[in-house]
Amino acid sequence: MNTRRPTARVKPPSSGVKVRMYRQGHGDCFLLAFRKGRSRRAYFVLIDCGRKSGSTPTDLHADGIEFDDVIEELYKDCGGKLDLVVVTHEHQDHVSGFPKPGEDGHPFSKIEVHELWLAWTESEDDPTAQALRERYNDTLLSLALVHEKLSRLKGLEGQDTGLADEIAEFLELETGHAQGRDVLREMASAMGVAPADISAGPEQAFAAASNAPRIRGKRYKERLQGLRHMVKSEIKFLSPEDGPWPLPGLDEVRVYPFGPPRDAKLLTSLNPRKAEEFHVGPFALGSPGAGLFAAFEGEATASAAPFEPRYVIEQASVFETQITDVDQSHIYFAETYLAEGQEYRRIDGDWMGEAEGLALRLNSEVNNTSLVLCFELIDSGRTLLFTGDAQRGSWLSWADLAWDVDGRQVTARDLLGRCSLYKVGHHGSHNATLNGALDSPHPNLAWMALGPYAQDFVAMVPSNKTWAWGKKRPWRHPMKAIETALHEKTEGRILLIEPATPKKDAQAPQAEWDAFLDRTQIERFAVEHWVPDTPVGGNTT
Amino acid sequence: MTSAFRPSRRLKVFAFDPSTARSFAGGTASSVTITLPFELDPQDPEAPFIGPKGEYVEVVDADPSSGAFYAPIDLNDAAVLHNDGLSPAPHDPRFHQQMVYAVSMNTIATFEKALGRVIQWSPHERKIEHADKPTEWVYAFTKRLRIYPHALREANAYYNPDKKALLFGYFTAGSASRSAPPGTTVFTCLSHDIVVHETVHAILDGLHPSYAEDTNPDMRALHEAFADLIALFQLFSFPSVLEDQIAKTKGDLGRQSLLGELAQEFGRAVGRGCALRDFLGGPDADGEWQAKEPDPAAYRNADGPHARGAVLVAAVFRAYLTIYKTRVSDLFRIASGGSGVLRDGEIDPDLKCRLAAEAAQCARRVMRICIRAMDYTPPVNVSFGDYLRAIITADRDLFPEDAQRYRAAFIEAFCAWGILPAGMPVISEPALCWPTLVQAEDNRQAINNIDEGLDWLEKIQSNLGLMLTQPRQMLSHLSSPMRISGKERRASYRLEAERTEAEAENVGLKIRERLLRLNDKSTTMQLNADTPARALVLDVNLLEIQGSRDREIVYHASNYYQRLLWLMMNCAASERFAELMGLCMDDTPLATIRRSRTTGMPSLHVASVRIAKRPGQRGQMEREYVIEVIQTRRGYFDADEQQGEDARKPNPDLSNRQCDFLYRTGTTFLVDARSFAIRRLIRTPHRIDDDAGLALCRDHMARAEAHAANAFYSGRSPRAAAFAALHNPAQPKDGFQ
Repeated sequence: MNTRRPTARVKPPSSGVKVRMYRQGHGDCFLLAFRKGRSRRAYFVLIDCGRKSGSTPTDLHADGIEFDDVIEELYKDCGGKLDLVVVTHEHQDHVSGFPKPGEDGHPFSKIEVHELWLAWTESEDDPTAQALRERYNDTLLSLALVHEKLSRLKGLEGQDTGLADEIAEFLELETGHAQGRDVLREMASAMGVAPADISAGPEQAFAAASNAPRIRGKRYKERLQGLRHMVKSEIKFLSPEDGPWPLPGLDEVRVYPFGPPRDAKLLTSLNPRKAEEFHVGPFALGSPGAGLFAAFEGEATASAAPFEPRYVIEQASVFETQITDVDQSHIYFAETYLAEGQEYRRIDGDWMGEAEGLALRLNSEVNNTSLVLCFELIDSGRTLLFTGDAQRGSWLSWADLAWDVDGRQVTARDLLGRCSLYKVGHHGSHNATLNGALDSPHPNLAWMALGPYAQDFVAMVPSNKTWAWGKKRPWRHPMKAIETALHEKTEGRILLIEPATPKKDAQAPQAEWDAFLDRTQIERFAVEHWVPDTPVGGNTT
Repeated sequence: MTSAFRPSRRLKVFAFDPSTARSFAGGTASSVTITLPFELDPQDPEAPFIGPKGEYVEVVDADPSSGAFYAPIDLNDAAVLHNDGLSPAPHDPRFHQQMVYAVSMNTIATFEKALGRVIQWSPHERKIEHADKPTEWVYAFTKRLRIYPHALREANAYYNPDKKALLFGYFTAGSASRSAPPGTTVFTCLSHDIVVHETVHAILDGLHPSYAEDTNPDMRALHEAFADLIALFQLFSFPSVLEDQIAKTKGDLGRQSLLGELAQEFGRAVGRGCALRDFLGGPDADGEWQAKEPDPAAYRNADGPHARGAVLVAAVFRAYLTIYKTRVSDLFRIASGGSGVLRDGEIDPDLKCRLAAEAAQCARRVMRICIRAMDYTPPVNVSFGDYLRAIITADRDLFPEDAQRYRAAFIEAFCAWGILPAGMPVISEPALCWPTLVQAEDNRQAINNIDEGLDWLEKIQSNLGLMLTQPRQMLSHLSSPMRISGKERRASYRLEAERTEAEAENVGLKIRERLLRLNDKSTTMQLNADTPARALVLDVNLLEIQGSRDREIVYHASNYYQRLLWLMMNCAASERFAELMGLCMDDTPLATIRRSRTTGMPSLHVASVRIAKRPGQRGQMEREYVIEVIQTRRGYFDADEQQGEDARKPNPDLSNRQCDFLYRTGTTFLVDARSFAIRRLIRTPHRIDDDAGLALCRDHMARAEAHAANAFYSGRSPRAAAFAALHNPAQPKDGFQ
């Protein structure tokens, strides 16, 4: 298949880089266009392509625009060819725009992808990455079964269904499926579980999957598989101890990988797994999740009970208590636990409440495996920071990062100080942008854009704020405190997906604001900002 | 009950968690026997007592994570009844049931003794959506708190206010466990400390449902610290628990603070991240435990419910130690022949017992003071400073002379830890007391520069008196919507009056039920079973009737008075009354204040009318009514949005509008049960129409919002989450807040 590719609509900048934040909805999709020598065609880098379903900005939604249409625009913008695709991490709002294997009709499938950069945590050969994946899979299996079990309780009157809905949201972020049983089916199948076990039911699928032999490098996720198949040249796994890397054919750019951290403590915010610890499945005894997993492994039957059989009454026999029953225990439970009008006091699902914390942790651990890239424009020294959804642990790890560049030491701190554009982490939410002062030991917003770099520092927040805050179960994306801090730091130079028009800070000098607007284009399908490779401070007049 | 034999129920429980073999748990102290008076939970000794399911609690041993139930204990089984219950046995779930029953009931007994009335669980609230009418909230009496000893499989236990239930977890000890051998099961329901702690959450929620709201930095901390304090002193009230530790002090009065070490150890049991007792002390460079010196900046600097709660625990514990040391100094002088310095070596066993008994006695007193204070707090939005004022006022009203210098000890300890009421230039006992009605009225007249005399206060007094003693007459007087204008409002008023009437009938029915039970036995007089219930609601003070141990009658009687008082305040309240009470009842232009459908004016919620009885200094029964009135206003994080909402056209339908948080203010007033004079006014520092108070609340809520542990929306209901999440570990502090 070799159709003629169109001419790229986005022209290379005279110097530096144009950053286009697409308005596909709530999620990340960034196109970076660099000038490639004297070529008329830009060097295109795509960082992520995904969104939460149903989060189209209202103006596009009104015209019936969907995600596919935005990808079509991306296709035209880059002329159907991406020199490099970067996937920060595998969450729905970062990868849902990539095709699954075999999805040839997908609008993204038309695009030619040359190189693919992933975080070291995606590598098949890395033992730490492998261990992480195993735990990830086991945790996800547990959460899927939690959702399935909680869903079954939904008919019960007076029982709170909030937890089930919450877990569904997390499952969808991780896998694209909101139903626990769909996740179980897909995972079990990817793990090589026999079809008979899968069709027997979610519990059986869980049991078979959690006992399945571990297959090295096997991942169930489809979107990234599809993308991997599209790569023409090479897939590179980046790690903070390597680099900086050049972009092929470009002399003016260096790329520093900041994260994910190699330090397991900072990566997972957990103590490293110790050999001497007792474990239930993937969980250390006494740690969150261990109880859930133990109960599931015992298939939530009386054999999992902490008492000897003579004290135990099977739940089923209590639930089937008849009016004629004479056993005083059965009568007692019928009159208390099963009493009519008292359903709201039942606790059938409460023991799975731990899943909330587990899901949150899984979510932030995956966020924390984000590939964090810092692009340095060599002539001017300006940098651009793309953090994916990196969390606190990743930020802390940047404090010690240093690279040797032509015999000169370059630190992450130095690069942050020269930052001209910050892609705000995790849509501006809690723990993905750290607070602090210039003299804090940990990297934070105050370390960024120092001295003259402050005057045209721009923050891009890939958030459809209207949608996120207006959800039935609202998300604080961006969080007020972070938005306020960014507003102060940038004097209003914040670009969101929706509302797309930036608001000038009253204190901001008009000349700086005008210069910012000159470099910014609010388009229908994207918000674009140009960071030229020219020295800061010289152009304020 | 036919039998004259009314035995106390004695039940053995663990004092220390059996899975934590700490250095303290040696000897006799590992278990204690709890004695529950028969009257607290009367059960026919001839019939089985399964569950236990009594008057206050029902233990339901369901373990859904194991797909199992555990057979309930029969506390009247001969082998149990005549043996002080089952012997402590971690392997037997029936012992677990016995323990949660005994410990929770003992806690209830402590509260009832201190408060002088039966305790109530918070009512079950249910939302009824109507297609054509505004949403209605229905409240129902909660007879029993449900206790699930094996509900969870995690190192957690909590009170769920929606289910009116305590949920205890169990978990397998990990290798990081300092105490239980790895791989063994730890049951949180076998920790005395945790059972009391969770029961106190439930009792306090019944007393003050709005205290579960996180409206200022102290609210969550107060719930947590209060539960922790009662848990601690409840254990300290068993002398045998204290003896070993007191022996360690070797009779050195200066080393009596070693009791703090014991207190801290209790808090660490089961390791569910209880940081509340952090400020008591810790090991020094030599590994010796040392009490921590109070830090006056600690309260100001403490952030988050645990850190703040820990300061309150430390302050009360300091007061406890001061009281204890004062009370035992004579024992030291006697034992040492006047020098106060004992000779070296082991402490005399008699002295040890006397000291332990004194320490236990002090624990009971301090606990009682702490509990009583909860009747003297503002109904909403309370701070630690308010709590200190409550402690001082409650104790002073009961014991005008501070002969034992308890109050002085409390004031000193709170000052030492920097806990002081805001905006109070002088700290002294009289200044800390909540204002009397006359003081408040004098201040009001002084502020307004008027002199109206105090005679009008007597009108309030007589209205209250009539309402309390002749409720029926008062109701028929209030039934017609006198001052209400407009057809809809009149209808709404009439509806409220009917509901009040219905509640009166409820009380009547319950009383009739009781009477009919007597009736069956009586041969001399027969009550006609057809007598209408309302006829039985005689014009008597329902809060003082003989059935006052019947919690359901008390609940309905209290509801009845709440409704009556509401009718009365809406009909008869004057502007100066509102001003004095700190309530906003005039036609303020602020549309965010919740408005009544009946009056169109800012609405009043009468949250409570209850009685408190306690023996005073001379043994006399002091009786007073505690009345709470609350007002509510919609709050918005965005100041512009707030202004916009404030400026809408006032309308009762706006009450259900979306908002970011609810701002509440209110007043508690204490009414003397003999004269019906209002004794004290306990007002929140700001009125509902005061933007300064709203701004404080907003600041806190915005911070709490930012503090939320995650970027997403929690699936739990806010009230349930309030308690479940309290025991989660604290957040790191380098994020935005």
